[in-house]
Amino acid sequence: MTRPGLRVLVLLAVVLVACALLAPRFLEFGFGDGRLRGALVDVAHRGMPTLLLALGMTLVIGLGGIDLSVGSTMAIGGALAALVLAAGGAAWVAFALGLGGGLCVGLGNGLLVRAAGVPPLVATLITLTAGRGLAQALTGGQIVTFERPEYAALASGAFLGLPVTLWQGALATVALGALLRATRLGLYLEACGDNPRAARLCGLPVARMHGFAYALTGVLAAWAGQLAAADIRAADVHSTGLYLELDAILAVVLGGTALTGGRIHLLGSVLGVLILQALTTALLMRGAGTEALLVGKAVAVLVFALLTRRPA
Amino acid sequence: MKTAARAPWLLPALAFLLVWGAAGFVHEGVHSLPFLHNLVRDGAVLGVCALGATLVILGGGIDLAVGAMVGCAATLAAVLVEDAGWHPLAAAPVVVAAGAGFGALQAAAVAATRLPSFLVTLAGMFFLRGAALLVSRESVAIAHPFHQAAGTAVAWVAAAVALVSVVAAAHLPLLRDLYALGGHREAALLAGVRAFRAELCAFAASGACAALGGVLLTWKSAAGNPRAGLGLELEAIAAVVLGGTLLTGGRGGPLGTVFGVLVLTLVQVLLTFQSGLGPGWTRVVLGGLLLACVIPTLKRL
Repeated sequence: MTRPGLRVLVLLAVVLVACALLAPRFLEFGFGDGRLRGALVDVAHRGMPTLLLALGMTLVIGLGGIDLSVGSTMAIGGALAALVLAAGGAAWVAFALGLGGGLCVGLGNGLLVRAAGVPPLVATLITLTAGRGLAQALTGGQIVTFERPEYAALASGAFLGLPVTLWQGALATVALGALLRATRLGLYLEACGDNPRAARLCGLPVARMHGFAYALTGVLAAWAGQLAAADIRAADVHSTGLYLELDAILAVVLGGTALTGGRIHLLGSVLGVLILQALTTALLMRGAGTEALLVGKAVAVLVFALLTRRPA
Repeated sequence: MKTAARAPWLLPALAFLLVWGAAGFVHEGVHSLPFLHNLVRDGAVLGVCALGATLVILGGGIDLAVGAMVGCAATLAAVLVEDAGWHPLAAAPVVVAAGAGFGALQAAAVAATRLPSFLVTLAGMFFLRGAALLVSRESVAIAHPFHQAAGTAVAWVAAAVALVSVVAAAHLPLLRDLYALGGHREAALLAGVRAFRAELCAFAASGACAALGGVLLTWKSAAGNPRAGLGLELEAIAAVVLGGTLLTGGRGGPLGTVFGVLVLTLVQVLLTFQSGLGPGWTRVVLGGLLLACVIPTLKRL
């Protein structure tokens, strides 16, 4: 276990203890609707869309980039799927088309960053603005509702006693982790993030690495958007994923992936998401409003940053 | 490209004249003083915020707390006037000073944590959004008679801020420090530029400007909404980039930002004239516009 990994584990433990103190029923478990219930399960369940975003964000940040557009990509993915469903299309077609939309946004980001040389912050700022606009234009600014239990099961179903969202998050994490560490991909990505010039001189396909990371982030974001849409059985193009890019970035930073690029800690990001979501759930259980939640998150992140700052 | 390097405000100014000139042939009354006054009034909040953001961006940083600051300042100003019974003109400087203080805190946090400014101000954005909702959960309507008259003053205040920024940019030594830091940080530090002082001032100015934006918003709408200014930080950055300021810092200036804001506001106004287009397409066009302005400023790979 690397040092940042250990740090985020300790932090998670501290946060969980704090949550248990804040909300006495935090550690209770129950069983109902064919699955395990309880605050901790809820933490994982609610955190899954953010987790999918954070997984992609880890790769992009590991490459020294940033993707601000994931929230808008979520809205596009959800909107596309909902439109297909509302028109009577099959659930799998809706899902695939939603992911395809995310892939297009991601590839667009990759092209802007690599082919046009736009700084990632600006490139994804553009797709953030235009992306949400596109989602709104797709649905005419309306909230598209659908009554399709087979699609809604994507977010509310259960499998082997656990919410199906958990399995999806685990699947995405394990698949991506295997892709990174069982193949050369992880090493290449880190090399490109650490020193792009050196990586290119070594013959690494730097441009393709960027394309891959942004495209994958787009697909994962569209997936997260579909979880959100399936959860409320509607595509809300105005608020789906709003500000969620910030949660994802914070989770990645908490997890120990350096914003300067060159290091990828996938599991750290998973733990980072759980930390943020545990705080959120505990504060909500305590009856705190969203306002206290926002202030709490901001203070927690700054305190963490002060504690773990690198020496000058 | 040579002119673009010497006077980065020239391109956005030309773009504004072009769009404004062309729009006059399609829509009646665009080439009139009342239209221009309304344009400045529409763009006032964004403009004031963008001018503050320009300083931070010139120095190589970024301030993402701008939109949340607008919402928080507007709510605070409304509560001071409505619940505490202050005169709006007394509440304004207090709110602006609070904004400057919070901006300075952010600069201190950047220096203390050695995190990139976008991350620190991201936390600042969460904090201010939460703080605004803690001040008041709902939008606060202002019944004070001053606000009935203040609507017309908004454009003049924004114009005054623009004038002061442009003049200050040409004469203040602080601005030279920011240009140096944004251009090449290591070199600036070795040349003895006091980085912390310059960044403290830039972030404080950005906070004060955003708070002033919030105050102007209450003058315009006679209400303080804690959810106001959503996404305004991105629009402000877009206006700064449209105005020819490099996002990496070191080049550009307030004059370009003024034209960037005018172009952005004009395009938004013109798009609302086309009633068939929803707010969705406005955003798409905005993105395209931003892209069109960024591409020519890029260094070749």
